[in-house]
Amino acid sequence: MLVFDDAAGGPRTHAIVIGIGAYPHLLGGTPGDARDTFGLKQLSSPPVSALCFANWLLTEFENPTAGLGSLELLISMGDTPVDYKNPRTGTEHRLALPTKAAIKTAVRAWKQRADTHPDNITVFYFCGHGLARGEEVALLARDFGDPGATTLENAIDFDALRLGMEACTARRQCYFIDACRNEPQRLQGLKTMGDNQILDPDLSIIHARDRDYPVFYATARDHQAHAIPGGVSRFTEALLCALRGAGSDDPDGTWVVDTLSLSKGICGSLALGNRRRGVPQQRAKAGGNDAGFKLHHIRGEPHVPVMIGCQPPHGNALARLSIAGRAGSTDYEPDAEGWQVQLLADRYALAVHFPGRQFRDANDELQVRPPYRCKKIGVQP
Amino acid sequence: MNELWLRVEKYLEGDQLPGSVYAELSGTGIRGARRFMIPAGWQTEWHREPVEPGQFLVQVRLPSGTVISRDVTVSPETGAPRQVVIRPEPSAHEYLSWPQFLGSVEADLGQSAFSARTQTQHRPAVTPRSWIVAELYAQGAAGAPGATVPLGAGTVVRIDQNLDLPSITYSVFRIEDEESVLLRFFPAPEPAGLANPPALGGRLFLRLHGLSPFPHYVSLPLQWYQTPDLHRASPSVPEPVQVDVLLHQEAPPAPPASVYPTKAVVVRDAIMGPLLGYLKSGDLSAVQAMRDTLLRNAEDVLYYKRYNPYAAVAGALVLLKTRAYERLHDWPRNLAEWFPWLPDGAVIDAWCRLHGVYEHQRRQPDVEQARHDFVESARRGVPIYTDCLRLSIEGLKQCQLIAQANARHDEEVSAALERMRAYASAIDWQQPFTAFTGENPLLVPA
Repeated sequence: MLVFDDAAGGPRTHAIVIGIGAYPHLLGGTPGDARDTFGLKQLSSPPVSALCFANWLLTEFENPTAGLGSLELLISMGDTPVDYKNPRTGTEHRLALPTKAAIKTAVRAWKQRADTHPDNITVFYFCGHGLARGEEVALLARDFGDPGATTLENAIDFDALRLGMEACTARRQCYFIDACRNEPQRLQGLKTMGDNQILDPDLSIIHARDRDYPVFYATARDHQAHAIPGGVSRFTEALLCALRGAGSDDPDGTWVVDTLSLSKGICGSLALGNRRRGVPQQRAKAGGNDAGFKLHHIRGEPHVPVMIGCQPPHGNALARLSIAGRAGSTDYEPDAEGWQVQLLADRYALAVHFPGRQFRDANDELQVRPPYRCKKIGVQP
Repeated sequence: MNELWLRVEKYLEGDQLPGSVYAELSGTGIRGARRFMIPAGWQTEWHREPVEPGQFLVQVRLPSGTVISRDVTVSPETGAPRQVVIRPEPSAHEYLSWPQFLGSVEADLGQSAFSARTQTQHRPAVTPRSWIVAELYAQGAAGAPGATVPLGAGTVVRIDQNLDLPSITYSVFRIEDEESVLLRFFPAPEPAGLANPPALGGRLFLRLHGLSPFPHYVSLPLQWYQTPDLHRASPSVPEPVQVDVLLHQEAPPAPPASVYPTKAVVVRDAIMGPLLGYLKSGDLSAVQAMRDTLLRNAEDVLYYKRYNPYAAVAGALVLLKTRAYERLHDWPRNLAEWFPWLPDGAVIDAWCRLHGVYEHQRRQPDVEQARHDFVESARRGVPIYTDCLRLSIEGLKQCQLIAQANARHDEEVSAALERMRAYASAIDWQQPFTAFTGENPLLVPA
């Protein structure tokens, strides 16, 4: 379903966002009749994550030379189609269910729109179940596991899609794959990793102009991607954090998220999250072929994830932290794990105060710049 | 005007790496950030940066991907330079310092072993990791059957000239502790002169076996010569450098039968080592920011391919990834033709032709030649670099799509693709040098 379409002339950014939580044929679904479920269950995070990313595109994405041109949105959450209100236009839409057929139609329409200008940018985002074989990934559509279909018939061969996009006129392409990359042994003998005819082979498949196509995977090969049930996935959270600043750089004096710095921002944000107690470890991986291009321009200063703690660390549970910057001062209660905050890139004064006088109060300075900062404040008994 | 003096303090077993770490300086009077490379090593020289008095942020990105930041104040009243020493986390063992600096192994690797050793330092002996049976497996230029040399402590490897293999002599040292085995390949002191390139003619693999029906192979880039600095008045003689292979397993007493240890091949090359680290950690932005320096190095090693074809492949990969096509010239063609035992040269040449990046091609793809070269590279076997395997599979798939678009089936391309796919399923994609399970390097299980 096309939820945004601005067909004005000139280069544009064309996005397709797919979030699949409900898989009727898999475990816990109705009818739950897949011959081989691969142990896969219903998911609650992908629709939430995909909607968050779609909303970010509609309300925050900014590219002066290729503003948002279109957004195709497919969501699977429960048995019925999702109603979606575009936060930019206020228009209501009933979203198509992301079956393999619906995804195929949407991808072809998306490519057709991207074909209108060589300086267009394309964005492909998928959040849902994935299976892998080596570097190859199958993206599972809502109707995956339909007993009337073969094993991977209702999956998208992502490699074939990515390669097929070589024929696209738009030479700047971005792919975000927020899915597990588990490698079941029984996929080894298969010829393809799903439907590899999503895009027709094209004689003009090799262009004279280089194609940049970074692929940002939520996790490494044969690893899982994680989320809090019902919440935004860890990868999408890190992606949004990177787009809001952690993945930005200012080589020309203005803050821009390019596809190379974006990778550092995503990895850095995930790495900081990995430090929280009880959080499963996750490492994003970048692939594709990319010399870097400007994706998003930050309005004002970037937001940067910052982790602050006392040295020795057991001071964290006893101290109140105060962070003072141009916009004023904010106080934080003691936190045994240290303080994880988002700050604008700038200079700050830090103060830790120990009401119980276990340590002496201490002051420090902090300069903040992407991708992230970790700061230890030394305290003395 | 004051000065900031910067360096990375990391003990790298006595090695000093000039200008090897990417750094950004922002703060007072600086619009955006200044970007430069600083030295790393133990008490190495300083990088000197002129600054006005004020407050600054120094951000250093190590080849491993680790970011280290320091707030720095430069006071107006002191004329002395402000020295800033960046200290990465110390390594648990000296032999882990290089692999951790380059990101070849995780930063916390060995910490548990270190703790255990500290607590039990008076115990008489550690348990040897006898489950690792390591051999050097040599494969001749024409895919001749391999000769094997068991690798124990103090083995001296001399490769049999009858196999048409490199004329090299290496002393191999094997160090073991509770969790790790380090195989250290010391080059014999036979430096080649600039006019006397080493003879190379085949592949060397580390073979590990005894754990599953098939052995495990790790491509070894031997013999590796340090690239001379061509931009000095009198370039130094290229010298062979030490190559370490670290095997690590954290599940004593015996790992599951199908699990092979963590591997890291570390080339202790002051220039290409850090560059390979940045490529592995995906930090192409550091390479892009320092284009002039790093791409010049990449071009130099490609030029000196006769001395070190392995470094030349790495240089060509850097130039391809950064689209610095003018620095590639048409040298990958020579890399493909002069080293018929090396799949990587043919892969890179094929990729260049497919995308028309050579100057004479004027961005017009030469699909036929590219197709031929991709098929030829697959015939030569698994590439040494994991990145070249990726390019090979991608290029072959593109050739297959082109055939499909012409409504025909290309049997040769399909067979080559199937062969590379078999490696893709058996390979450890996290390693820069190919490491895989197979019956022999030319036969991996389907």
